[in-house]
Amino acid sequence: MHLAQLRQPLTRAAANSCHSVCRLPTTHSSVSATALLSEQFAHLRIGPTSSNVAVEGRRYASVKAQGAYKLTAKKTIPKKLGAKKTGDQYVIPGNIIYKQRGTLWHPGENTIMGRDHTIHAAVAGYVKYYRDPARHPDRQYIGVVFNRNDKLPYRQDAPRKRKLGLVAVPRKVEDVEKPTMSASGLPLWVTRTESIEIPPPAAPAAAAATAGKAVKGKGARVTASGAAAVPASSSTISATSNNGGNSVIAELIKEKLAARAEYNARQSALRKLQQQKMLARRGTRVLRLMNNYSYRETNWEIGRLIGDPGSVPGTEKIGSRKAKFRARRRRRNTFLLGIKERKLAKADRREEYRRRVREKREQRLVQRKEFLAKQSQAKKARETKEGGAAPKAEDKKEMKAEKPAAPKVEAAPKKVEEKKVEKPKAPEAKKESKPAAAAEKPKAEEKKKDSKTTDKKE
Amino acid sequence: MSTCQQVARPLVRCLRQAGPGAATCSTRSVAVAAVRPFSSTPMRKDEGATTTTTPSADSTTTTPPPPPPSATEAKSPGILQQDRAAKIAQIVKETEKIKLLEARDASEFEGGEAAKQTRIKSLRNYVEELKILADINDPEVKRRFEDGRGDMTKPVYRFLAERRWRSMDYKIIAQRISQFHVVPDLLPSFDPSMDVKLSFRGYQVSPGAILDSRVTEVAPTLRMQVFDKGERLLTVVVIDSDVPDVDHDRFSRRCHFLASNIPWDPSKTVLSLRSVGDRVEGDVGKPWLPPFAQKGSPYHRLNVFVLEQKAGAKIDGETLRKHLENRENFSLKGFREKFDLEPVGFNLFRSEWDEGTAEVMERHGIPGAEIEFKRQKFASLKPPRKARGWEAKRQKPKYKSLWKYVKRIA
Repeated sequence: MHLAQLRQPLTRAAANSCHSVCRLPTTHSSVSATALLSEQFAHLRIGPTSSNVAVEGRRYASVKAQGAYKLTAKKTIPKKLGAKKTGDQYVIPGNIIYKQRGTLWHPGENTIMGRDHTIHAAVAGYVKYYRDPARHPDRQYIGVVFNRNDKLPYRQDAPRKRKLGLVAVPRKVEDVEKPTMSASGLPLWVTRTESIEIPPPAAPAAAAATAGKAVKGKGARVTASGAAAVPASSSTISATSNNGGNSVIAELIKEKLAARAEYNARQSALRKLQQQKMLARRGTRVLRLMNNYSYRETNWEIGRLIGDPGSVPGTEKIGSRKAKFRARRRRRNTFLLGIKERKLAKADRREEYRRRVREKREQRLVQRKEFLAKQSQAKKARETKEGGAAPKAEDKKEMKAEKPAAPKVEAAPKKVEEKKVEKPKAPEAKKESKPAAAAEKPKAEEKKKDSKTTDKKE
Repeated sequence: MSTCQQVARPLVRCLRQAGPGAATCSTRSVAVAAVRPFSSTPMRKDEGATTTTTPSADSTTTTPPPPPPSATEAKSPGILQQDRAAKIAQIVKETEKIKLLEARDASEFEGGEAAKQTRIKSLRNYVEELKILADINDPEVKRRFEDGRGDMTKPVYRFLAERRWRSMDYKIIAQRISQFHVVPDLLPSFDPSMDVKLSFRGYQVSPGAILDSRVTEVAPTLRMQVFDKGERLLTVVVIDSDVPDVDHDRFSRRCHFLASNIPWDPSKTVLSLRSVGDRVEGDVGKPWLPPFAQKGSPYHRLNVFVLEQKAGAKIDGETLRKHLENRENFSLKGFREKFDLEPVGFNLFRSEWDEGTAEVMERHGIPGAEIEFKRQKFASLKPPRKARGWEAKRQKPKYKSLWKYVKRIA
């Protein structure tokens, strides 16, 4: 603006000077001279020229416009984000490969992403930037490979490439002895054993004494303990058994009684021992030094007193279906086992009885043989005295030898007959059961069919 | 509907149902419920008059015959029974069809022998499906299965067992296979088809659990269930896939147990690895070596693989032993290829160094307990920095006069 205002006086002055210099030419010529001058001034002009006429009507900012908006804030700290390692560059574990806000790049093979999405190397190797469409269609990954020539991603069905990354050193054997004393000089634990008065086995001893007294008349020793008393009593019984009567059975009964008494005594002794052990265990308490310098049993030790250490009391489900099944099975098994044992015992007893009977019979046979031999000898003696009657006796002997065989032969057919008589009963029973099973029949047939088909297939 | 109405709704419905005439029925059901409080399965009696007794395919052998049905029941067979009868008729029909197909010549088919076989196969599959469908709705079958008394030689029980396994246990195993990288590390691809459960010293362990070395000192017991019919021979392999190999700076594999020719069928359930070759039939290639992890080594995956042998193909014990001269560097892939085996079952546990490992290793004469693994150290990639600070500055000879006051650093 100032320049434009200045221009007019200047041109005027220039025109005047020119006028004075070139007076001689005509007025016409003077006009042309001014035009020439204005042209010359146009070159000198500083303001807007004819070339940028369009900007001629420019409005100037009325507010602060000194680049305040364009300038960056200079007080923030630079975050220095971006790649810190390029592709194929060697890295060691922990090196930062990429710093970023959010996950522009995702951690791939052998890399770890930090708290602020920074990607670190997890192994020593070469950095690879890659995409893995099998893992994600859009994501880009950074990985580290052991061999520079490897390409990522690896084949999916090939075993992973891993390095041990460990070195073997001799193991430090830490022999840390558990301290028995605390820093303040107090023992860390105190074991307290309660002296439990286990009553001496008075009752059983008394019983043994009485038992001894009962058999004392027959020559028994009186012993202190019940267990030791048993064999003594049995010996007394055996001593007195030769009185007569059915001696074998009596002896057996006595033996049995003795065995039972012995067993009972052993069982009671075992029970007592167990009880003692349990009492000792319950009585022994390990009191441990607590933080507040008090001695106390630990909670788990207190809990252990309730039951065996294997089961934590209160944790088992009592009403569960499976538990009920288990209980039922256990009950049934014990019941069945009892039956089995009883059966076995019975069989044993029967076997024993049979054996005895057999022995007896043999004895009897031997006795009879002896008796017969004696008789025959006597007869022979008589006959030798009389003479000529020997063959008769021989015949008789033969007859006797044959006799026991004969009844057996007769008995066998009888049995057969009995069976025959019994047999017709069975069909009747079947008939009775048939109507009950009649309704079942079609199903049974189906079953058969099914089983047939399944058999074929199986 | 107001809240109180909502609350009372089931009660109202119940009362409405148990109106005049139905009172006795409801009381009976209550009584039945009282007798059997712990079963989710309805009893046969609960079904009411609509179903008569429907014996399942196996009831003849295991249960006494049910009481004779009354006359009314016998007259009108229930829906279940009708359905079953229809299914059985269908089975008979299909089997006859199969027989006819088998009798026909292959040239009659458009695709020749192959087409004939596919046709027969698809029909057989259909028959199998029908066999399952015939019994699947029987409450007695369901009850028996839930009580664990199902006869696994029957297709229904196998089907039910497989369905149960697929519902959860299979998913867990499949997840373990992928998340512990069993699939690329040991086998290129693998999908288990039989149930394998692990138990050590009588305690079942969940797949992938980290176990104490004292617990795993004795061989485990496998609870195995196959879901397809027939007898087959199995091979059991236990592989440690994370054995540290310091010389080559890598991980190698070791065979901890191997036994072949173990006969198995759906009715069998328990296999004690200790008794293989002794009480249980089978050839032991390598007896149980207790798993151990040296101190500092990352956890070891102990993979239990059950492989199925080709039908009737017994593995010769001598070749097996020759193949397995060394336990180290055992390759499951190579083993499988050599003996033509198909992996079918899988389970996994892990082991780490613990207080008992050294003792276990000593007890079994395993060397290496005196070694510990430490992390390999790498030199920094940065150039060494100059020392900086007040003292570092005054180390120079320029400050020689001050040296008596300055701490000399290297």
